[in-house]
Amino acid sequence: MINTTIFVAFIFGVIAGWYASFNIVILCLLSFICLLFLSFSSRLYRRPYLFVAFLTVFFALLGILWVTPYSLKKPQDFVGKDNFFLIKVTSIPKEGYLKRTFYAQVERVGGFSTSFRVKVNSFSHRKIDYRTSYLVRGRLSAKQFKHNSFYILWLKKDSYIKELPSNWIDNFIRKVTFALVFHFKKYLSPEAYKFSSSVFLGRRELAEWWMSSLLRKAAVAHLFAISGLHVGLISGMLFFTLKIFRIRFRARLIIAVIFMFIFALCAGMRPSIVRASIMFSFLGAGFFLKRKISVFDSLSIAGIVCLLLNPLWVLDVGFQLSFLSVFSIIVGFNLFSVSLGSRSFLINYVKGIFFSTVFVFIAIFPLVSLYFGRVYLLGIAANIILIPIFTFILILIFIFVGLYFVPFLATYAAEVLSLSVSLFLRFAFLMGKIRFAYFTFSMKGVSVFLYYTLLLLGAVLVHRYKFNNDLSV
Amino acid sequence: MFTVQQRRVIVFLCSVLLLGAFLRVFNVHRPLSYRFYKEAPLKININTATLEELEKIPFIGETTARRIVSYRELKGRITSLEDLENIKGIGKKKLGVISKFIIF
Repeated sequence: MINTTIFVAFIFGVIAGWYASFNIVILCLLSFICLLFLSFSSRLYRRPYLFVAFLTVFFALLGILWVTPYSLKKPQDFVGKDNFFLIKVTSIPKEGYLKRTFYAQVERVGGFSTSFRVKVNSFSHRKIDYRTSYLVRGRLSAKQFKHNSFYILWLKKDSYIKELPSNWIDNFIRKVTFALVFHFKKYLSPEAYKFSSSVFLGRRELAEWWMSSLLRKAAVAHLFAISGLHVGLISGMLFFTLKIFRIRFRARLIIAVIFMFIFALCAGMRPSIVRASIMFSFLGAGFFLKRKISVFDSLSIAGIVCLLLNPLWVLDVGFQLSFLSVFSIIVGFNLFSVSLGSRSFLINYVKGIFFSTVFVFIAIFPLVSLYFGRVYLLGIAANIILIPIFTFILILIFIFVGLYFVPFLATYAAEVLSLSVSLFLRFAFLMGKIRFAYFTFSMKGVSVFLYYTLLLLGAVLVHRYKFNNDLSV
Repeated sequence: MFTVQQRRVIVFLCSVLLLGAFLRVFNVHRPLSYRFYKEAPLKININTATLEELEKIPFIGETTARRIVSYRELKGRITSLEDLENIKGIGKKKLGVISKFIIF
């Protein structure tokens, strides 16, 4: 639990640092230096509780200092003014009638470091490449929706756009992504190509708007997020494939971990896939070192690594929902000792999905209502019906990608994949048509805080009750 | 030579490829189209349609449908395509598409 404590302390530090003034940051820096000096001189490490307290304060202060370069100027400060932006293109540009639209990560504005996502509307004729950095001069505008801010960068016809040199990693990711996207486009039906590119390669910009709307109404929009389900399936299939070539277990593990990180890079390095890849590598490390790995520890360390990579992810909806969902599943299965020991695979499978969905729903519905203004009641039924079909689709995508160099067989796999995607979308459409699949409900920030406080108290009470009575399902 | 698990996987792979060959030969698959999702009727009366009916028009989502209803309540009857252009979210391009599905 130490790792969970320091992860939570780091999160609070990042949030505090984001909103704190510069004077408080200087104060924290001085406190940080004093703390380090005190800990070495007083030999804190000899007393366990003091050491945990030291780590907690240390990571809280580290969080404040880590986010400081980004918090000097917030994105709102650049809205409405012309500025120089250093952007990295994170989506495949869409050619429109008059403009080119794409998503980018802003890394610098003027002389200030920053990290936020923008939608870029470029009226320039200059060609824009995926995974390439550009120095551009444009104007930023903002749109507010519920508690989220969305930023749009406007580039005029004659805007200054300078391409910066790409590194070999970006060139490699670009080549792999385009090779796979063209492979999908060549053999799959239009809908299957767009759907598969979104759910397997993270190219959500290729998905039609009605697909996203359809999945949202069916309460399975989370399937667009590449995360643990993808990592688990792909690693399992990779393991099996390598076993056929009689590669040893340890070598298979190393190859699978390296492949997962390459996959995470190609899928856009979003918080959910980074979390899943790090947790998977921890599992692999556990096998290597022949030690039992705590899932809480691996989740917490994954969180700390994610925030070290980009501290502003703490404000990202995807990060919050991803970590909260996994945390709720771990806590839920631990608290209620849900047993999946039945002989029937089907019963275990349905039981697993049912309880996972219930725990996740309890954990995330305040955040979903806060950010999206809706609560989806259909989640449990939709997950039980649609996730098996989605899992089948992912397996077919893997087979289809594996047959990249055998076009003759790839066409047959493509036919089955196209039909499966068609059926999946039809099922999702039918589920979304059910009355009261969702209802409009918005919670305020204070209510969300109170809810989570009560939930935490409830979990502690259940945990204490569990010592007296065995809560098994 | 192969374990039970490996044999199961090989059988699954062969079944997928055989099914794919069958689908390809007999051209069974009909891709899902946008029209299926929308189930748009031929023409919708823009002045009397409810929110749900307005959402059936291609490229009209929940937000735009609400704006149309608000505009109707504020300004009264919509009599022409130019009136629709005054609504936020409906530009010339979208108007060109939705005009095929509406009557006044």
